[in-house]
Amino acid sequence: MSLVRYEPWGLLNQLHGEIDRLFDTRLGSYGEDSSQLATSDWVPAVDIREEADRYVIHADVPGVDPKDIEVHMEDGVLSIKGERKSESKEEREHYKRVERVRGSFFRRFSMPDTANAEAISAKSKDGVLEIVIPKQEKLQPKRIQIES
Amino acid sequence: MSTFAEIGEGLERAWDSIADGWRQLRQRATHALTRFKPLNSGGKLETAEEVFLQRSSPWGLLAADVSEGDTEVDVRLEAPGLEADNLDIQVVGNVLVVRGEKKVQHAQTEGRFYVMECAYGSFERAVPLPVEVDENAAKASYRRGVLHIKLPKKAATRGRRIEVQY
Repeated sequence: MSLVRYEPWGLLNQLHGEIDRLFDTRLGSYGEDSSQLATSDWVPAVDIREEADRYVIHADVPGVDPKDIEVHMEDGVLSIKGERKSESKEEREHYKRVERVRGSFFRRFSMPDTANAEAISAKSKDGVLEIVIPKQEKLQPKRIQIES
Repeated sequence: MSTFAEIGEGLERAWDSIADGWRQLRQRATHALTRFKPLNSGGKLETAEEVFLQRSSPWGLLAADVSEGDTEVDVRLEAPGLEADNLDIQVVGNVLVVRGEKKVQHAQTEGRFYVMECAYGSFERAVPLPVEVDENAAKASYRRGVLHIKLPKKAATRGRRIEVQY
């Protein structure tokens, strides 16, 4: 039998978190860059994970031309910004439903010291942006053999 | 005016603005906010993929735009990271139903997670259509994570110009 933690409010809390993120502009928390955040129209969802020799970031950016995405690392801070442009030139009044947000997005993350800013690579497939940041070789943990 | 009346009025205004914001949020997000279910729910978690699915975000935003032209209805649905072959697209009455699954690669489950916001698993998104459409003549394409479905209108619902006779 498997034990499951009892979390009656789990679903509601998660929903709350998602909504928070959607409307999150975090003004002021990034100092001089708050102006950039204030002008960003939407925020992509991301996964960030650490493997033994690299960090991998996945971001959902559906409908964004890879040419319009800019990945940048400076002073240990990785920033992703870009823009979703309109795909059709149709008049707005023909729209019966508009849920998609056009315009610019911006997100930034501070990376650990082990991240190698020189060797970042990024690719985009089916609206998912993948950024790989290798760790610096000399900082990878090394197991030291004990002589007996 | 007494201080109490002023406070009361201020509160009322604040409440109105919250209520208005909430209405806008609902209009915008209630349809786009979509539940993602791990395929094997309730059972034992065995593979790394299953554990990952349970931990990943259960809600994702699948935003849709619907525009109506003279002869067809155009739907664009944001659904990043899917395999287009596994999508199931149906028209039920006046509603377009898209079912699919965002799969997890084993390599994606390795390592230690700092942020997990993306949703994985199977989903179902319903998009109300403005008019009746001919589902047999529908065409769909998938590019850059956006599913584009073109649905021709049923002949009867197309606007017809009626000549006035003298």
